[in-house]
Amino acid sequence: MKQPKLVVIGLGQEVRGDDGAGIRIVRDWRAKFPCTSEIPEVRVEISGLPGLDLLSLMEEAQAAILVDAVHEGSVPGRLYELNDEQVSAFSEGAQSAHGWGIAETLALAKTIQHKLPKRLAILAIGSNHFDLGANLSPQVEGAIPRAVEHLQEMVLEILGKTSGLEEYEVGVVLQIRPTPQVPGNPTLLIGK
Amino acid sequence: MPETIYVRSMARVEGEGALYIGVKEGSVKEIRVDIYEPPRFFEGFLRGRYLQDVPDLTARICGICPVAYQMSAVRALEKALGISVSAQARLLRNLMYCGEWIESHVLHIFILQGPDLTGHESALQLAAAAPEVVKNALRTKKIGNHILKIIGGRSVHPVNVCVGGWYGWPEASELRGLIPELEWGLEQAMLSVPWAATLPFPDFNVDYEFVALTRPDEYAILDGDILSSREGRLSEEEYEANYLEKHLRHSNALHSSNKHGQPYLVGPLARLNLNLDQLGPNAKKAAEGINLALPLGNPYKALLARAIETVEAFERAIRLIKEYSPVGSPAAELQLKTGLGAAATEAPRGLLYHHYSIDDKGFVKDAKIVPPTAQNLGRMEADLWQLAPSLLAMQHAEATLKAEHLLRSYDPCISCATHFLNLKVYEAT
Repeated sequence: MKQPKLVVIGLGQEVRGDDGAGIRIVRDWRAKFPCTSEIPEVRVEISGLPGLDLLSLMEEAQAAILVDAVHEGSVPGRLYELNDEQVSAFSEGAQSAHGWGIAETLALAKTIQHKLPKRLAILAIGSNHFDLGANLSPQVEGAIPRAVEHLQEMVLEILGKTSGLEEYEVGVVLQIRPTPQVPGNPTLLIGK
Repeated sequence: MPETIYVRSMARVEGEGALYIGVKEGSVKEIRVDIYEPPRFFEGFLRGRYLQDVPDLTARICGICPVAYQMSAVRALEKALGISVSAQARLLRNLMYCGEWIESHVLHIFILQGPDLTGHESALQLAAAAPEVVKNALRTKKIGNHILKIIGGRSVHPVNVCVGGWYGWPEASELRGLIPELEWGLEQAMLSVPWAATLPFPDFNVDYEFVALTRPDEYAILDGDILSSREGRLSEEEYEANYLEKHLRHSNALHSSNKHGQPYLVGPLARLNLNLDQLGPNAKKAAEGINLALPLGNPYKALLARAIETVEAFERAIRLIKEYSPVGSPAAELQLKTGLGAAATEAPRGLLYHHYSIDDKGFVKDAKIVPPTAQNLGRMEADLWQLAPSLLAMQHAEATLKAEHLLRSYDPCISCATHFLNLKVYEAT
């Protein structure tokens, strides 16, 4: 079987309020853009808390997009696109975090020179409410459509395609996360 | 002397919990392993579900040991219906369980407990110091994932097992394709036993009541009688009369004790102590190679037991794949009837007991699940009582690390037990 070029992975705990945003974005994207999500070049994974198995999920894919919630203080609903290097910077402050999150897993992979996809991106959504059994907070819920559109744009860009791209909302707040060394920066929630 | 040791959330354990050690006038007054991860009421929502839903629902209790939950569930329900599965169906269950043992044991040896014994703060530090060790561990763990994926369709929460056997037979050729990698894994597992034996295990010895499944013909994983090092042999049906659960206010997990109110130990150390003679030839050779002497009552050395059991899982998986030759229907036909069924299997962390009552249409009337970590909680607290006096002579950070290490050596799965860890030593009032 031909290996897919791109794997899109929805991460997080759906039972913990905004932490379910990553999975929700991937599900909504899959429903809205089946013409993209269902082609053989794309594999979609809904994986909750994969821990080290995240490496297996990305294996042999040339590119991976991880979609997840980030704790971003008091600005829920903001979108962030992190590239490979920013992702590894993320892990530097996260080594003492219990459990195995994306940051720890990617840091471990780099430490042992485990082969990762050539291109690795995270679409992250600022989140602030993680109560057990809660739904997405209104701010995060309201940002889902934008996140879905942005995910589609990332996918098409990676696949080298421009057709099928719906008009992108002008003025969408899309920020690159500030340097992670500053205290109080976003922390990936996976593994908690 | 530490006044307050408080680890808000234990690292490298599955789930959420805390530990209190109460100190007053230089002596330890209170020890509590608190489970604050919420209870999940699985037993409650299984009521009214059709029996074939049960293995896939209970698998969701744990992402590390879903196979254990599935196997205890199907075996208990099959006993309620009075049916047995074919020899090839049992073989495949045994094989899938080996895959889970490999995944879980390797994760604990190298990522969770390994850093404690090699003097590293985290698996990342261990990986930086010994990248090949961690690289091989990940490759080894992946072999377990492959077994689950081929048999169960996916490596987490596999879906193929059913009451009566399997929904479908996996391709024998696909499983045989794993043999070269399994042989590499067996070789690595054989090497990891002498490596593990050189680790600086703390000097600590406990007189445990070991409880595990046992069978005469193989190292019991999937089925067998329940054997206690003190009480002797019991059938699975006699488990509940001899091992009791009680609710403690500080814990969302039930604590188990034997009928005399004393804690007991399940898990790799219990299994190895009770079933050494039933190990396969390579695992036995690995145990002899390190001059293993029983009884082994050092909880930290459960890592040694896991290393030996990993050899067992690899050699058994190779043997089973060679013997796998499915014929006929993968599942026995179900004749629904009212019934009660109790069964236990050996999850990576120890004995996992399920008990179901079903009606004549196959719907669950009542369910009881006793996970290994819940059974070991009382034992963890008792071990901490034994360790605590030595903690008082230490600096705070060192004492915290020692207590954490002891609990991590149990490989507690709090998510499963909530039915776990911060460490808090405080001045009792």
